[in-house]
Amino acid sequence: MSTQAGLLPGTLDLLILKAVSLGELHGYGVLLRIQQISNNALLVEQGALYPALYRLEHQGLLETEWGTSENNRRAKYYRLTTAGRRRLREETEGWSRLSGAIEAALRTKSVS
Amino acid sequence: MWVRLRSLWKAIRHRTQFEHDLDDELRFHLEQRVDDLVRGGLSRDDAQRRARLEFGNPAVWQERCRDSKRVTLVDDLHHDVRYALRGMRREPSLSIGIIATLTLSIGATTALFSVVNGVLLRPLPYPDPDRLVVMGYQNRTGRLVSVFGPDYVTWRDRCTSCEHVSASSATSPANIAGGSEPERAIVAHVTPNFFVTMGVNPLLGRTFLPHETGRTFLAGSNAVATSVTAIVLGHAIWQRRFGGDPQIVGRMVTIDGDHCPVVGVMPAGFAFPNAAEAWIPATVNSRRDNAFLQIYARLKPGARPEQAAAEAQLESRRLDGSAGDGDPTIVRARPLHEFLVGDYRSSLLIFLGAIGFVLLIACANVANLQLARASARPREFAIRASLGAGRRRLAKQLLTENVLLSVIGSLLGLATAVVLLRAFVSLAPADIPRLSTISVDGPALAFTLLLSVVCGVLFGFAPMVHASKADPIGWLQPGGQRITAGAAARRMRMGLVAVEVALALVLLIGGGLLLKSFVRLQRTQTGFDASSVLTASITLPAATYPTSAQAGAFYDRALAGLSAIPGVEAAGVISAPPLGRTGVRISGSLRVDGETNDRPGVIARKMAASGGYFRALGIPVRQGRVFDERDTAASTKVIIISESLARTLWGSDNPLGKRINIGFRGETWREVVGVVGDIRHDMLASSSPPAFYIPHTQVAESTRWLVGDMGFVLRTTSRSEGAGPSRRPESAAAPLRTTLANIDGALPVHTVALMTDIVSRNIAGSRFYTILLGSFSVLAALLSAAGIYGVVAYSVGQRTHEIGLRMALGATLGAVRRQVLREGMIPVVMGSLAGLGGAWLVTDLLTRFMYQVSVRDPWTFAVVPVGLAAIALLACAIPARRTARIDPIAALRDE
Repeated sequence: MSTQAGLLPGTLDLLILKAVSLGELHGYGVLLRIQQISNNALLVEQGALYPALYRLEHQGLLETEWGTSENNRRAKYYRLTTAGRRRLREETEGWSRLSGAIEAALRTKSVS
Repeated sequence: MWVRLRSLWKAIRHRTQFEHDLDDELRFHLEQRVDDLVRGGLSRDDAQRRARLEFGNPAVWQERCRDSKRVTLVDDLHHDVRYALRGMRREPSLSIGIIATLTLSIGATTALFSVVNGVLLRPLPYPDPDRLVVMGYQNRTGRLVSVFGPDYVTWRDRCTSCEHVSASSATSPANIAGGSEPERAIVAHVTPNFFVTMGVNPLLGRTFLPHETGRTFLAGSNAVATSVTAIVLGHAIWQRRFGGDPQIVGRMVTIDGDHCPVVGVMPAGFAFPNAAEAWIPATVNSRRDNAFLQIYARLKPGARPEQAAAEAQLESRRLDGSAGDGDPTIVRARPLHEFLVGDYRSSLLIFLGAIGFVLLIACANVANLQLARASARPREFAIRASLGAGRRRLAKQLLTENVLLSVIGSLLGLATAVVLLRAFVSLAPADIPRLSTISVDGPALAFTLLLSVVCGVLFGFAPMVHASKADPIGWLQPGGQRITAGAAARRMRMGLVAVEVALALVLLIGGGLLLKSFVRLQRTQTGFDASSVLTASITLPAATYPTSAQAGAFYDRALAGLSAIPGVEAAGVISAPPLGRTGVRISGSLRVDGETNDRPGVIARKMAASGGYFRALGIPVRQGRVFDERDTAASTKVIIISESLARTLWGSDNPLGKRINIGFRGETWREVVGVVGDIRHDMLASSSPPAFYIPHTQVAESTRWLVGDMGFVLRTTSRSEGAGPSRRPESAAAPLRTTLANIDGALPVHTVALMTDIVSRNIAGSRFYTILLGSFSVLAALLSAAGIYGVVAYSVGQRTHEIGLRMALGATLGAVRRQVLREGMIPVVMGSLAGLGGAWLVTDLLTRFMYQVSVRDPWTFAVVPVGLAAIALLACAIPARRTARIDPIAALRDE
């Protein structure tokens, strides 16, 4: 557990968008995908996933469809909309800038 | 935006589907997780437990999902309202207390606001009312007084900042005949441009033409006697007297004996000035010896009243220059609305402030009750919070409850306001302008609505702060409630009680001062004996009684007839009946024989009376005699003076036989034959001015107006005889009318009234304000007592456990009670101190209502707080007694 990091506020939405962008997923699938792409390093509170999914759907970034899961159960699938794709691109750029800047700041050894 | 609305709409429309899907989706997640965990090597039971633990409380997440989609908006409201109603039913006494508090306070506030709105705020019903001004000379007291004819004419012709300048010379009752019975109506004498100045057009016909004349108001020696040549009728009299006859224009009517055509009818609602019912042309006197014109002007757009006044002053100075008058004239122009509302503005605003206090107390009270209720239900909130209700959701729930309560309270309050307003109007002194037109109307409704919402939010705020601190864990632990029984909440409640007490005390002291003043006023000696006295007024038309001699003869015949009525002890006639508004009320200077000039500074009330007047009203004769048959037009001219006049003129010298000239034109020396007691002439509250009386038979022809409008005073033998109910003073009214009708059938008798009623009407204003502030302060006291009771009762109820514990540890019942009382009374004492200070500061506002009572009356400032403290103590004592019922064992077991 200690190797897992809690999520910064606001990053869950970004991770969900990223996970869904790699292919249509149901809710549980989103959880697994996030764990997979982050090499199990990020801790996602399972229940919190759903309000976030609903919020993103409400904002028109995700669209949903009921389908059948790999083991033949009824499941709700999430797919990225055009708006969602655009948002993912923007947020990714924003995140890169931010994390780059913070990393650079933290690397600073001395101020000359 | 659109996407979100569609998403919300879909969710709301397919609500069941939404819930179903939400359930399915979360269940799918859990099942998948369990499957994965089982695959990872756990037993199915362990896997299920683990999955649920990882997931957290599904109910919370579901609620969050709903929030994400805002599906619950409509739902929540519906639910909150239902829940609130259920809550009210569960604690009916609390809800009834809150609703009753709101009903009374909102009702009273709305009613008073309607009065203020109707009297002060609503614009006058004329076009561009802001441009209407009243102009006049300003006297030493700052009041506007009437204007001379020549001044009016130059203002009218030369004032460039005014569009129109019009004048009214008098408003007086007149007899209008044109059918079977004579009608008495208030007739205004106005210049032809009066109607165009006001901006009101006639409904039928036209208004006056410049050549049309009215009767010359003062028949001075140089005035040309004219008669009324045209009349404009008011809507009401047209309907009442002439059946709304559409052919009325051109019909001849008789006004005070003059025949003239009706030239027009004004629209309904126009009754200006002084509730006029008809209008006749005013005759403008061309000399500057008698100022009697009231000036109404319409300013040009953009012109300021000060400009008009400055211009008019310049013109009047020019006239002064030619006349060589000493006193410089100061001319002022005041907006008509301000002029009409006058003194009532500050009175009404004071009472609006007072009712604001009541409203604040009510809000504090309701907040207190709500707070008490909220602190009694943190468990409920804690449970709801743990079941997934967010903080905002709980706050919204509370807000809904409060707004619902205040909406119910305001609806009932509105009904109360309608009733109260009727009571206000019937109690109010008749001279408050525009009182009859007041109703609970649009602005008042809007005001109530605003009040109810503000109240709801205001008193909902305190419990909300409290509830949002709800910490589920602490409250759900057994005994948690006892530990955390919010000290902060209790302090807040005590603070609210202190505020209530302070506000209530200010009101009560104000009410106490008014009451004391009113009692003093009622005990004031009028100088005469009002019991068993009946009065009636008549106006003798100049057309049928053109001379003083004819008028005098009429009164002689009338008095002879009236004295003969069985049960009438004495009958008299007086030109200015005391404490009323009828008759000729005039004061002025006079000269004493042997002195060359008028006595400076001596202003006496000038009246004509018959000898019977003093007997009928029971005015004591101090020296000499009253008038009798000897005093005829031909005999020596005589005069009776009041005690204070005798003292002012001659000190302790014997005034009998001394001679006075009363200063009217055509008067000679009059010999003092009697001295009578002082009486209150105009206001019970203002001291009696010096006065004199001349016999009605000895009035000079040039002062015929003095006897044109007189009042009969009859003393009846109703008091002691016990001859049955028929011997009441009113029973003389019918024979009085018959007697006068036998002498002149065309003469209407008006204002038949008991003298006692006239006296009580004279202090109607004082009574009205006393009742108003008195009822506000009693309401305030009751509300604060209820507030104190509520706080103490809840505190005792909540601390049953603690009290039980203390008693189990050996505290006596007395000690416990004393502590409860002490805690209850601390805010009362603090509030009282603040209230005393506040009252000390604000009672100055009541100065003008005081009669022989100081606004810092020590008696009131001492007794009222003690009384309030006693009530508060009682309110604390009732719940404190309940501690006796606490059984320590039961209290400790009660977990």
